[in-house]
Amino acid sequence: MDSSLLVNFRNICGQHPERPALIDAQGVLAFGEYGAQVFRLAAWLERHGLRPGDVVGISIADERRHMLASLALLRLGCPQVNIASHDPPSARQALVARCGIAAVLADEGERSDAAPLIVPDFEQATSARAAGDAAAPVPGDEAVASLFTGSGTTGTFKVIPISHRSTMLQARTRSMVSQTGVEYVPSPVEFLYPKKHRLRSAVTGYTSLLQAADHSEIPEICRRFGVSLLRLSPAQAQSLIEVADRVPEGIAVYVGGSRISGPMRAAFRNRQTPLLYVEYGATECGNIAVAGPDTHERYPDGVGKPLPGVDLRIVDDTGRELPPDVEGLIRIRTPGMASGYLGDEELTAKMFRDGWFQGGDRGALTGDGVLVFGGRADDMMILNSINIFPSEIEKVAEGFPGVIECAAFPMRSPVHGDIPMLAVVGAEACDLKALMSYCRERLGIRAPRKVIGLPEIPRNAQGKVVRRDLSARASQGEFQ
Amino acid sequence: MTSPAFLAMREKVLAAIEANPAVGPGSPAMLERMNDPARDCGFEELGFDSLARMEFCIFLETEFGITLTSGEVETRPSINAMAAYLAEASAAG
Repeated sequence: MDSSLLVNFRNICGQHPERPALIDAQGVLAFGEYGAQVFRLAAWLERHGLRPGDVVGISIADERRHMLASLALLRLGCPQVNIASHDPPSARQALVARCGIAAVLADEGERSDAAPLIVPDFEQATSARAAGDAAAPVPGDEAVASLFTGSGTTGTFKVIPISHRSTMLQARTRSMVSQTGVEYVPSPVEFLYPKKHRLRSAVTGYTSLLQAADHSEIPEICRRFGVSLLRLSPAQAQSLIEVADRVPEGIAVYVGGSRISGPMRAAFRNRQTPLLYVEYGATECGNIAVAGPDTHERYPDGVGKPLPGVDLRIVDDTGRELPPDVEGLIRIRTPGMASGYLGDEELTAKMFRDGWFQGGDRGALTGDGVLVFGGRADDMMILNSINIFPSEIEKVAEGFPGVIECAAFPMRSPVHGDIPMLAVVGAEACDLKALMSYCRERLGIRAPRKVIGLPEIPRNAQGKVVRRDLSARASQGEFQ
Repeated sequence: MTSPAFLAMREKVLAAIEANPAVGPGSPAMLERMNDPARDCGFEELGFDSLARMEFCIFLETEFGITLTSGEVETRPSINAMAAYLAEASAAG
């Protein structure tokens, strides 16, 4: 198989023209027609001034149009950036400036931020009467395909360039239950996680179901469209637990973003399907490991064995490799790994060392090669010189009756450093005062000093717990 | 020493003692004395050590937003001395 993204996409479209590529409210768009429309749109964009290397923002909420625009930009060799239409203008302008965006592709009625708008006439641009393809040469493997943004440890966002080659390799590394099928990621394409997966499906010949839904409708939609693979955020998985209807038997459900608590996994398997897979990955690397039911039975906090092609080591602060079962920093090398951050040499030097990505996650490898996640190194709290990892508190609290989900976080104190606190989503019967004593008994000085009941744990678009938010709310006195 | 500000702070100090995981429950006689603003009770008598002082401070901070160092607790070593100190600090803004 060729590693070139475009060659690969073209081959799939040519070899499987009848296979559904996109399913949405308009019906089915098969790969043959999908490819044709993508290349025609690329020609249209070229006629409207876009050149290889131009960084282009996409601000299109419509799922099908967004994907057509995205693939057309890949064809032209224009690095693309999602500029979500739901983001406030200040965030959109910051993205335009930071990424050097030359133009923004938008749907009709979109506003202009700091870059010229191009509003494609999709009907005309993709019609069979339009030119078949752009004139520009197909971009090389090392050309930048996408600029992904992520939350930075320093409070500013980081921009991760992913090349065509990396996009293809990350698509191949992801764990799939079958080579073909219907994938359903019920979040909008303007978010990073669904966007990445829709692109990966397009270039590996997988069918994407594009259908906005309430979580209660997800099982019915899965039945109606014959979904084989469902990808959920932790919050969606949590919501689905409460839904009486079940996803059809045999569907594999992947939940990404962060470690999913043991009780939540158990509840999901019990109420929805046993085929629950928890993914461990990073935008910089793609998927790294995946844990299915077997792994969780043996290692409750395991995130699985590294996927084929992924090299993973556990090292100490000096980079020395550690023996099995000893927790340290996780180092990763994956086939489709990024090589750094745009315009941030300092962060690049910190995270990318000697050909490894070391993003600050901690963990241990068991004797048989299962990665057990230990938390974020930089989430470590220091209470009067005592090191406390949120995961340590969460692991204990999850064992308490009625705790559905929880997140430990620091309240910043000018005197004591980080005062550990615990936010809990609990069943009605969950006794928070008793939970605090329970933690104190098991954790001693590393116990949370306050336990707060919340309706939900704040998470970012990637599903990671936003401890900073909780800390800020604590500092503002919200939890007093 | 019975101003509303003092009494309010005294309640907070008592709460911090009661919740302190590093301090055992007091005897009934001790509790009676603690609850009487006219009488005082030393932290040492209550079994305060360095860990208890830290927990005392943390409780006041997480529950009431009052920042306090262990050193300040050491130098105001009784319920009333601490309550008076906090009331004064609060009035000074």
